[in-house]
Amino acid sequence: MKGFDFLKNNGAQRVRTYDPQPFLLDDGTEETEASDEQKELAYERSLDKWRALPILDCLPPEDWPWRPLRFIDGKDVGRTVAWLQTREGHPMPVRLAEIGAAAMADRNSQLRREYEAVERVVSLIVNPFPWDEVESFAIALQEQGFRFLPCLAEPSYSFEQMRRATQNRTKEAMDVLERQALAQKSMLPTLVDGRLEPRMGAFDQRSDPVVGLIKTHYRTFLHPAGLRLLCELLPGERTPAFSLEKKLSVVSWYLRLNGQGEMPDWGIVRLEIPKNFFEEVIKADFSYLDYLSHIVYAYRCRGTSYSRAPISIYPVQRAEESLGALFTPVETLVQRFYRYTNL
Amino acid sequence: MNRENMTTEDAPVCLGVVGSPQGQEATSKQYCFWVARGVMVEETQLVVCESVIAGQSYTFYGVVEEVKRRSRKKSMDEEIDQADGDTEYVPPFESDGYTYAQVSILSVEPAALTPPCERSKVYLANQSQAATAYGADDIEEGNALPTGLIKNGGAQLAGPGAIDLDYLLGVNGGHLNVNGSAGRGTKSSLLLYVVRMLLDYARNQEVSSANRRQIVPIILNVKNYDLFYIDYPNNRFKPERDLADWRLLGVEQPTPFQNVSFFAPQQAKVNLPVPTGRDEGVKAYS
Repeated sequence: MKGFDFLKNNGAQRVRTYDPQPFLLDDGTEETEASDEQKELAYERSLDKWRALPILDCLPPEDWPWRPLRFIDGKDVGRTVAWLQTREGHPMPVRLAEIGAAAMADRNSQLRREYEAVERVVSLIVNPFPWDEVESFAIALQEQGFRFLPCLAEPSYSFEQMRRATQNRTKEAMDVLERQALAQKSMLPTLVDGRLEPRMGAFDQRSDPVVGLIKTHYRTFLHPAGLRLLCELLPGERTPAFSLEKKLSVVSWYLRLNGQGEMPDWGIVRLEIPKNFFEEVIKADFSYLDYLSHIVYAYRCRGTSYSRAPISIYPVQRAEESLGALFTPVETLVQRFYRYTNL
Repeated sequence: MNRENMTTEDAPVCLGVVGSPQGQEATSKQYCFWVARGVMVEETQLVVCESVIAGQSYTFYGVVEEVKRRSRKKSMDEEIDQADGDTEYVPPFESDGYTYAQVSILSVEPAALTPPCERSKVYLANQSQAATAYGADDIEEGNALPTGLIKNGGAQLAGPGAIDLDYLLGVNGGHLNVNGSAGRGTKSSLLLYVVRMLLDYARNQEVSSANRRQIVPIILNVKNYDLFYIDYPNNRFKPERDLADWRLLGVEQPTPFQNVSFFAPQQAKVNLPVPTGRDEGVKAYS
C-alpha cells in the first residue's frame, strides 16, 4: 500500500465542517492536572488584606528596562477533514490544519513582524495502523507540503474524544513554533499570548523577562474572597499576586482591562511571570507588577470590531492579524487535500 | 520643475507590490498595489510592473489614478474610541495604517488583455518606460512631435510626451483635441506651443526633401486680444525657471513667433480694423 492509498484502504470518508459535538461515552471532563499544583495565594499580601490594587498611576520610568519589546502569538486553524476506520472499528478523525507563530517587535513604537513560521500539518491517531503504512502516508503528505503529526492517543469509540486528541496534537506542534519564536530573543522583555509553562525550555526562568498573558480562564485559582474581588475589579485595577508552583513556578495576578461587558468576569486577563526571575532578578519588588500591569493596560485593545478586544492587547492582536495573513483559507486547503488524496 | 526632477534611468525605485484581494481584484484595465513603507506614491505617476503569466513575462505600464490611505480601524467609531475623543491622546504604538494605489493599465508588452498577478513588484517608470507606456515607441522615427513634459507625480517629470504627426497632419488624421478649464489660458497656450513646434519641425527638415512639410498656421482669435501679441516675448518667461523645460523639449532658446500677419474685422464705414490694442501691422478685412 503506497502513499495516499492508505486513506482509501482504511475506508476514509470526507467530513463536512461541523461544530464540536458532546462526548458520547463520558462527560468530557478534562483532567485539570491540578492535583500536583501548589499555590500560595498570600504571596504578595495576606488573604485578609486582599483588595483591588489600582495601577493607573503606576507609570513606569521612561528608561524602565522591563517594558515588553516582543509579542508572541500562535495560531492553529483547521478542521477534521476525513475519518477512517481501524480494523477494530474505531472511527479515526484526520485533522488538517495550518499552524504558525509570529513575533512582533516594538521598534520605537512601531510594531514590526520580526519572525514568523507557518506549517501545514495533518494529524491522525496512528497506534491502530501498521507503521509502514503510516510512514508511506506521511511521505506522500510531505511531497505535497504537509507535515504529518502522529498522534499517540489510545483508540476509542468516542469520535469527539479522538477529534480532540488530533486537535491537541496540532496545538502541540503550534506550541513548538511559538517556543521557537520565543527562543529567538528570549533575553529581551517578551510577552507571550498564553501560559508560560507550555513554552518552558524556550527561555531561562531565572533570567529571562518573559510574561504570559492568559485571556481565557479555564481554572479558578482564587479563594472565595478573591473571586469576589475579581468580579469587583475596575478597569486599571489588579488583584494581589499569588504564586503557582508546578513544572514551572510562576507569580501570577489578574488585571481588568475593560469594564464594558455584561459578564462580571469579562475584560479580565491573568498575567504570569517566572517566579525565579521575579525573586532573583527583580528581588520580589512588587512595583514591577504594577508597572507591567500599567503597560499592559495601556496596550489594551480599544477597537470594537475585534471580538476579543476586551481581553487582548494591541500588539498581540497585530501579531494575530499579521500571522493570519500568512495563512491559506481553510476550505481552500481542505479542497487541495481532497484533490491530492483523491478522497 | 527642472531637470533635477526628471525620473532617471538609474536603479528602479520599487514602490510596492500588487495586491488583489476580494473586492479589489486586478483586471485587464486596472489593478491596486500596496505602497512600501517610507515610499511616497502620487497620482499621475507612471508605473511599471512585471508579471509572469503562463510562463511568459509581461510588462504592464500604467498610471496611478488614485492613492488611498487606510488605517486598521474598521470604522470611524473605532478611530475616535482609540483616543476616547481626546485630540491630545498619543497611542502607545504608531499607526499600522498603510497606503495603496489604484493604477490604470495603459499598455502591456507583449500585448495581452490580462491583469498582472498579485505579489508582482511595482516600479516607478523611467523616461523610456514612460514613452512606451503612452505608445511613443510606436511612432515612426522622425515623426514624433514633443508635446509637453509628462508629469510623474507632483514634482517629477518623465520626459517629453510625443504626438504622432501622422495623426496631426493628415496622413491618418488631422485633429487635435485640447481640454481644460476655461479662462486659465492653458488650452490656447498649448495650441500655440504645438504650432510653434510644428514650425520648428518643418524648418529642421531638409529643404530638398520631397516629404518636407509646409506649415501655414492660421489662428482665429475668438475672445480678448492676447493673440495679437504673439510676436512679442512673454513677459512672464523667466529663463532661470523655464529654460530647462524648453530644453527638455528640444528647444534651446524659445523666441516669439516671427513674420506674423494680423487681421481684424473692418470697422463700419471706414477702412480700418476694429481696435485690438495693437497700433500697427493689423490689416482690416470684411
